[in-house]
Amino acid sequence: MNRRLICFVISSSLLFTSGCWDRVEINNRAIWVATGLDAIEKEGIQLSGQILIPSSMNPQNGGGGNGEKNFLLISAIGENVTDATQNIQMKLSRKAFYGQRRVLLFGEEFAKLGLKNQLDFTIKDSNASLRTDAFVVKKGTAIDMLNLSYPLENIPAEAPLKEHVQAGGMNDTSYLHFLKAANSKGIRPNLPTIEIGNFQDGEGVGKKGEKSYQLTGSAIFDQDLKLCGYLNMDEYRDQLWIMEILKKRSLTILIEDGNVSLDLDKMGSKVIPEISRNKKIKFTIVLTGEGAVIENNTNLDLTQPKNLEFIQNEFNKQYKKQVVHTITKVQTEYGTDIFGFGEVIHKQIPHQWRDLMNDWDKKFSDADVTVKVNLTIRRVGMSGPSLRK
Amino acid sequence: MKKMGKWEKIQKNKKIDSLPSHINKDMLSSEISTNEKVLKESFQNCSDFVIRPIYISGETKIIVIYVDGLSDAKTLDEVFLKPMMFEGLPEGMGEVHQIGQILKQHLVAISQVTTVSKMSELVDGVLKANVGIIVDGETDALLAELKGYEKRGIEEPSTEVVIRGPRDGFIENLRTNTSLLRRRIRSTSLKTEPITIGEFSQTDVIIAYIDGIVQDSILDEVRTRLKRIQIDGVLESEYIEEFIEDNPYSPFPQIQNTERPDIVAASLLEGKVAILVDNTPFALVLPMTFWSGFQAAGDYYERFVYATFIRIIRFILLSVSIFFPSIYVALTTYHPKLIPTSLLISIAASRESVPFPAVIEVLLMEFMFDGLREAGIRLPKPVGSAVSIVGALVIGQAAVQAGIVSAPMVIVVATTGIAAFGIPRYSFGNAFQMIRYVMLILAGCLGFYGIVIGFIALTIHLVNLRSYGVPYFSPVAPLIPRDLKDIVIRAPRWAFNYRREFFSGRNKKRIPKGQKPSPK
Repeated sequence: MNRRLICFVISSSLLFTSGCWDRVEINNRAIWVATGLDAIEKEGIQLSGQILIPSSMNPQNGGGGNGEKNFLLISAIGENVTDATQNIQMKLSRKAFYGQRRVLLFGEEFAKLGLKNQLDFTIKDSNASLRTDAFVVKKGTAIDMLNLSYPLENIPAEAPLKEHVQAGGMNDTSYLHFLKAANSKGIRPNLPTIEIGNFQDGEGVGKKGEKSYQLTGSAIFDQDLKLCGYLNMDEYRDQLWIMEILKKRSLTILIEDGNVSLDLDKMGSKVIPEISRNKKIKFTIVLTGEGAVIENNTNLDLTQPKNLEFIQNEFNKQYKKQVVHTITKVQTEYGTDIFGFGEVIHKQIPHQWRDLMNDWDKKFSDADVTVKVNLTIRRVGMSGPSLRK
Repeated sequence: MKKMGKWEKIQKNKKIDSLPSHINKDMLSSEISTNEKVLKESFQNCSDFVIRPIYISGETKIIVIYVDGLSDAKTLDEVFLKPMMFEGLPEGMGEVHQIGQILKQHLVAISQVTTVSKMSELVDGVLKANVGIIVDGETDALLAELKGYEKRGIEEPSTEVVIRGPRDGFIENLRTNTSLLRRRIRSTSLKTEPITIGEFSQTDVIIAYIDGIVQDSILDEVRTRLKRIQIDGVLESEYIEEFIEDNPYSPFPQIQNTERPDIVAASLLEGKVAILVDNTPFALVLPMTFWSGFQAAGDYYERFVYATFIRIIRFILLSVSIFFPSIYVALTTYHPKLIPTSLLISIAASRESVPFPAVIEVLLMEFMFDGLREAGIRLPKPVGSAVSIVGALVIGQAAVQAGIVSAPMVIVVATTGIAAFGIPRYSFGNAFQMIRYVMLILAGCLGFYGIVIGFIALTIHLVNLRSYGVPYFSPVAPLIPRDLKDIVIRAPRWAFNYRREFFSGRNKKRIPKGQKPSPK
């Protein structure tokens, strides 16, 4: 009994040997919510961070509502990220804490130089979350982007994240997708792009209005993770549809002298690879979708099955054209397989993949692509024929 | 061995002290004066002892002895002394040496009268609130049961309140308690075995069980363990509980205590054994399992759907009461990554000016809370409300405003405090109250890793416990699917077709199947 007691006392006193603790109180941590990376000529990279100031976020008075910025923008230059981090810590009274960093921004110049040499930190740092939404800042630098405050969000860095969710992209798995793509041969990575935009477009307010984060499409990377081009938002949506990531989308087409909009809520896609005797690669892409016509500014009465069928066909035809255009653009202009067609071959015809994978980008550019769009209109609304009828 | 010898010696000495040795085995003398002398010697310096000689028909001497306050003196006057002294023996009623017999059969209008022939039995009887009657020239004495001590009325037990259900509770009087049981189970199968424990207190203890349902091995074990007890006095059932538990060092009670006769009756019907102790309203019920700690009496008096719902709530409350403060500490100091960003910011904002680490903060608040709780039990009623207001102010508002603790911490501690009272069995909840502190220190030192270690240790301890051979975690571990009807869910009454595997020996069938009401 006595021996047991002594053992217990000794082993429990181990708990209090303070040297082994890695306890850090919250008020000794700098909550780092977004990281920006920019290239600086000759000197290396510039690491910038958005750090929240908790005391200005007092939940009782709304937080940051009084015009003051409730975050701290901090940046430093270094050879690589670790070096820059060390330089940043020299200016920071609290330990930088990356666990809540959900947004990663790459400046355009930085992306053009290639991410391959600089991204190891995101994988090796155990505190950094892989659930990160990464963006390329089109026509700008990451530090400018991070300096924006966003009126709706307490945490400005959450704004692009939430916009991405609304747009229906990969959200906070986009960086993970990026890393996966960077490490496989059958798919080339791409990332959404973001720009400093205005909240107000069009006439009236002019360009004086508040600046906002704006999603503008996606950035395409090549094999060396160098930025090689952009897709606009519609093309990006096509890409996500082909990759079966998109969950909802509104389609608008012009018919005769009017236009019709279809709101899709069930979207699917199927990529069927085919390799002929003479090693000619052919892909058949079947895109499906179901939804409701939510706006109809034409003379057609959609309660008539014949008109409905006409519109359905028109949607299929026009969107087939657009998707083909997107794919052709990627094939001819950039020649990198951002759709992951190579992975499809890898999974479905694995024995052929070995011969193809080493020169896949070239073969992707030469592949034949056939697109079929099969849309189904489920509902046309209850309010009867359109106003123009 | 040496220690044992010493103990026995002390026991022997005590025996000699308690009763003069020469009357210990002595039979009653036929000389009434000798008896009187011996009695007076035994009850020397006992001011509450009454010895009252009377003469019948002017010649036959009778001594009436009782302890004042224990026996009902008024009834004694009415039914015995008055007729004896004023009317004397009825005419033609035999010889002197038969007076005792006559008294017993014809004259003492008291329902329970026994004859004893030993002085020690007489003394014991008198100490147990009987009235002793000795007649000159006879070697037998009468013991008339005339218990008349003060007792509390039957009230609703304050520790186990139900919304719907019987409101009577046990009181300090053992006889009343057995009557409450007997009123619920009117069967000759309900056995109440008496046993006396306590060298000086001579406390009556009753083992209650239902013959034919109870598991004999458990019952035998109860008898053995009770007989083994050597103690000077038993003042509460806890005195006994500590002698007959399986694992005395565990913080968890392995014997359930209750003030409610309906709980005892229900347990007996399940095949459990109850131990009722005189002078306390708390009866012991055994064997106990972990899950009995969550079964409130009210569960069985409400609709079963609601009872199931509330039981699930209780399990959640249990985990909250053990883990919530420690999870808070672990999350904020070791794993802030796991907190949603906006919540983290709220916590960080309110922690900005707090001087102590989170662990110290929680310990401080928990300490205050338990202090208030403990003080609340002991405070005199008029002061109580004042102190609780001050306490609430100190803990709730002033401490936060002064920046000593953060507001989320108050929420954590308050939630934990409320959750702890969601466990229906008070003594069972106490165990978790202590474990909370252990978890807290582990979490403060090792984060989630510590919580997991603590949880594993707790689980190992719990599954290792046994109560009278019944695994503490049964029927979950070991798994007995048939018995799961009253653990997390409370099945409807007609579905309790079988008694629990471990509790009942014979007669496992409880309620015949096919009684589910249906429109046929």
